[in-house]
Amino acid sequence: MHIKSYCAAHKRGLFSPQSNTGRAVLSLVFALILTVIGLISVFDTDKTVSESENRNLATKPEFSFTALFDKSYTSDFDTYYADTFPFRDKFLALNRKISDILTGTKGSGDIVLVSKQEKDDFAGQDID
Amino acid sequence: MVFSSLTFLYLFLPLCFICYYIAQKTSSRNVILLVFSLVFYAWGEPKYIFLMIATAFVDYAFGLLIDRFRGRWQAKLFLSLAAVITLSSLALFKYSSFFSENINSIFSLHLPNLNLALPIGISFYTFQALTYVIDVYRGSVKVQPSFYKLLLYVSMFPQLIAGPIVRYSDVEEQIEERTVTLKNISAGVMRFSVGLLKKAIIANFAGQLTDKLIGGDLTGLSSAGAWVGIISYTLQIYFDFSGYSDMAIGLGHMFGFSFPENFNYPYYAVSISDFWRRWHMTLSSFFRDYLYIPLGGNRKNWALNMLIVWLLTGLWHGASWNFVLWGLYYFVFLMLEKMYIGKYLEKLPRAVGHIYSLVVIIVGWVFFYFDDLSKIKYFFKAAFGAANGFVTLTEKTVIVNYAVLLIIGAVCAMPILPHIKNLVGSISKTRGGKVAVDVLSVLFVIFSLVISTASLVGNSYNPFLYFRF
Repeated sequence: MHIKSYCAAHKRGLFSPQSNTGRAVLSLVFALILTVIGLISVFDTDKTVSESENRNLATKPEFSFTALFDKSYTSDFDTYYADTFPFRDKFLALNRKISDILTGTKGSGDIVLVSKQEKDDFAGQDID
Repeated sequence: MVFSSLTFLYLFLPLCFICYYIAQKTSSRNVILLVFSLVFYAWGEPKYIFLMIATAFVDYAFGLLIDRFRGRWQAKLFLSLAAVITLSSLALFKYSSFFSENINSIFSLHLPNLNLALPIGISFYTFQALTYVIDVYRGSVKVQPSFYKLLLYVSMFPQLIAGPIVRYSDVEEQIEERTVTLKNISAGVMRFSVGLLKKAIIANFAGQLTDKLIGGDLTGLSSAGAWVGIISYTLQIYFDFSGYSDMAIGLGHMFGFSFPENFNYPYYAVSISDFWRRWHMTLSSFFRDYLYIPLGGNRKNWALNMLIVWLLTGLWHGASWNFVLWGLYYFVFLMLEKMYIGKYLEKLPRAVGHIYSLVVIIVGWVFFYFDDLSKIKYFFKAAFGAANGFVTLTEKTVIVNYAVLLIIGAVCAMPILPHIKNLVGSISKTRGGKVAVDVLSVLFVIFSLVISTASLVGNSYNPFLYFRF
């Protein structure tokens, strides 16, 4: 147990803006991205179908106190919000790229990812 | 609600900012922050929000009583009552099923299992509320005459559900009066962006890898699969937890608060006692100041005190035997270091200490990750190649695919940022350097938001790891 010293709180933030202009621009950019996308998300027309995924998107849940207290309202709302998020298709495409770089799981043709279950399904066959 | 959700980032947060910054006086800002905090908590726990309010009220009321009877025997009585009532809600909601199941199986009784759902963040906010009454009793903080201010302290949404465990003494003055400067806000935005990136990118992708390798049933697990799997979990839990703390500290800055640090490159530790000075610092210092030292610290029965502290540290992380084992595991290493190996570690090169600590920490996560003791046994069997050999084809493919992520994670877990900061510090003395740092900071924030949002939109895998805390 460490009785000797409380680890002094380190101020180890990443580099932060040096000038007040820089600080103001940084704070404004952050606030604007959140607010503008937030406003678009509230006022845009929700899509109901995703062509790229070939499925129906979640619709806005009906509010009721029963649904609120059994937690289904808030969790359905989160699903609906993510499903109808502005520029969703663009974000999905970007995420596929990130996924490809970090985990090589999408887009690369030479390596095929199989789960354990799939591997079992292929048992006896040549996976490659 | 959690920070790494679209609803939080794009609805809750901008609305909260707008209301907060329109209001000028600290008193109106307190009310706004309180209302938003209650909505934040109710979003995930619409019923148990009343439990949180009740906890805050109990400690508020006993705080007043302790203050009134200061120096007399009643003060001690009221402190004990406050502690018992506060902790009994934790015992009831978090531990009652665990204890009734175990007592029933040992003594073959039929105690009822209440099967209560665990309220989110209960372990964090009960400890926070306790620091208030205990410090009022000790006289190290002033009594808070206003209930809504104490409730604001207990429920403040940045630190509500996943720490850091902020003590009342940390924010006592800031609740009464605080100023938000542009420097605070921009530092907060940077800190939040770092945390968001840690959680939404590194932790969530590492979580996918952990799941693939050791998440299901373990039949077919090879030695390499086991080790890479648990290393991946090592990265996942660090980036998840410290990412949450970064976001909390960053949000705190944006609202004019200064919260304590919670992580200090824990995987760079040179010993296990060093690790616990770097990992979840607010929890270990809570146990030190409010349990270990009152028990007698290292002056009286220190071995027993250590055992109690580490049993409870384990149990704090979840009502399950594996967490007890995890706590005991660290108890053993801390005792060993204090009595035998500590003095040798100091003489050996630092690299030895780093490697020793990392191995102990990574193996320790096995007890933390699996709540099924038979899985822990099977994991070790597989890890030493006794189950399915060195590596299987499937695992090899998965590991190769995630190599970039593992490398990025391992590099970012090491203290390279302070070095970059020093470098930036010397560059930013020049005029051009200052501009460059400003531009890079802005680009970084945009990068973090866009990338994290893409990941949150695209990946359904976004676990909340602290649901058992």
